[in-house]
Amino acid sequence: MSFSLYKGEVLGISGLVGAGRTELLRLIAGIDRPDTGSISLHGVRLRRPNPRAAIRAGIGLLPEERKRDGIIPERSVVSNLGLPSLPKFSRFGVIRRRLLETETKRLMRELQLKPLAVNRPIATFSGGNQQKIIIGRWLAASADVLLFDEPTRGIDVGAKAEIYSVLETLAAEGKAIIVVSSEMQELIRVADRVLVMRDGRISATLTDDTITENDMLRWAIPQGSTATLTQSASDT
Amino acid sequence: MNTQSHSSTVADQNRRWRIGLRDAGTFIGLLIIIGVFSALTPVFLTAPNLLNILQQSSINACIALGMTLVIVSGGIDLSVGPIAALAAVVAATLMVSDVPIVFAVFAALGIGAACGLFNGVLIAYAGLQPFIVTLGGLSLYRSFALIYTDGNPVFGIPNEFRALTNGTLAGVPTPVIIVCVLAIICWILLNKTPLGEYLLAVGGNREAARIAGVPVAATRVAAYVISGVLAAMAALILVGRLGAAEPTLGNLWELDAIAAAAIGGASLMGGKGSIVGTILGAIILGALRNGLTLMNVQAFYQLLATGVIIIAAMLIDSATRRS
Repeated sequence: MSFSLYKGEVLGISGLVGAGRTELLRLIAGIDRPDTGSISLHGVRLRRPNPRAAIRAGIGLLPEERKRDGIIPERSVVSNLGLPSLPKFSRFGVIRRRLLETETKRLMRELQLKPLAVNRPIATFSGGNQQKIIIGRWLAASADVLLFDEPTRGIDVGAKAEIYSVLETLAAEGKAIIVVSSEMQELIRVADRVLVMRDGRISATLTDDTITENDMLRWAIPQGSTATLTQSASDT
Repeated sequence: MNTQSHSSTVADQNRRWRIGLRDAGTFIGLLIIIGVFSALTPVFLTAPNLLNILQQSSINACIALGMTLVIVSGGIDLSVGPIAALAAVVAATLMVSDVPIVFAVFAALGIGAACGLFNGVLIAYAGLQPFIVTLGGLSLYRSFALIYTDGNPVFGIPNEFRALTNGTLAGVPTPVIIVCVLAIICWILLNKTPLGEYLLAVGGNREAARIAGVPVAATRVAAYVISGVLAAMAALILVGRLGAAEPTLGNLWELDAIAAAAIGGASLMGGKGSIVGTILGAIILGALRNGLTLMNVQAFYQLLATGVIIIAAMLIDSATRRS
């Protein structure tokens, strides 16, 4: 599969569970090693993919499993947010804690963290707030490419609306964003373009009026399952 | 809205002191032990005896500092005693062979670092379990020390070196001062540097730390290297005090170090630990043994008391975390 992502664009990835959506994001973020293929950012090919190289190149991942892959539960908001960018906030090998704390408060105010208690352990915050802190992590690291894997899974309706608003703001600021979501309505709301994945490949690229639940389902479900598709589509 | 944000800020500031409160709990435990022994034996609460406790605790504290960093990173180091023995016999052999003391000291520290590096690489890069690797290291390094010396102690440590560890500065024994300096360095490392944040992150959630760009393997290796160097440092202090180095030196040091770190609040699951707490933990163990010895309590009962203190500390820690 091959695709491009543009500055200021929100690219949705749709597909059934097991289609390879999370694997795609993990490959881009350098977490898993690809057998073949390459990733280029601003025309420059990324060599030896690993998370640190991806972060240096400006790629940040909001993982699907927030508690397993996203947060250090006992550590504070400041520590969680600053983790990828500690060298930036250090001088002579010592962390400039006040600078990091000020930056954390600024970002968390922008992202509307409630309460704005940046020295509290991240585990004491709601799921939606934890997501905002991880988004803040990548903003602090000056990431230009943000990968959101199921960003609203397990969070309440109010927090979902806030995450959508954050996504729109970030795209307007020129960030390039990929959103993987199993909620088709979510992709319809936030994505400028949607890639539908099936069996590890892109089965369709949907834009504008074609970003519909019907089309996403049609291209996500294997060819032999048309009857199921018709049934599912009519149900929705 | 203002009231809410104000109360959040106050709560936030209180959170910042929470780690300090955990250390305060350990300190209160120490005060209770001091109070009890002071009431039971008048010699306990005298300046010479308190300095004696600090001196006796200094070697365990030195080892426990490194152990805390390893435990914080989610590991364990069972090989610190044999690393200390190997470093001690090599340094002692060099010193009695008229090699300059500085060179012998660096050789010992280098051996500590090399052993730590060996442990760390096997754990972080080969993916072996820390318990198993350092258990293997425990036998391996002990055998190196025994083979190197043919099982015999090394005597004749130069007086210049002995003077370094047997002296006092403003009435305080030099081993205590050395360990204080090392503790300050470790405190800065854990609380003020990126490496400290990385250690806590790796111990707290290794996969999340990796995804956040933490150099997980290098961080874990660094913890074992520091632990090895501090074990060698403890060995040098002991060699200076005794004037000899035995290949059997450091037997069960790892258990005392783990106990000091655990009493001080380090979580064996990783991600939590305090340098101040560890130092207090080492002093608690030292004070307990000193007090029981002054009361002529048999060594068997000293072991019993140590075990009770460790379990009590863990129960109190667990209860406070739940609350």
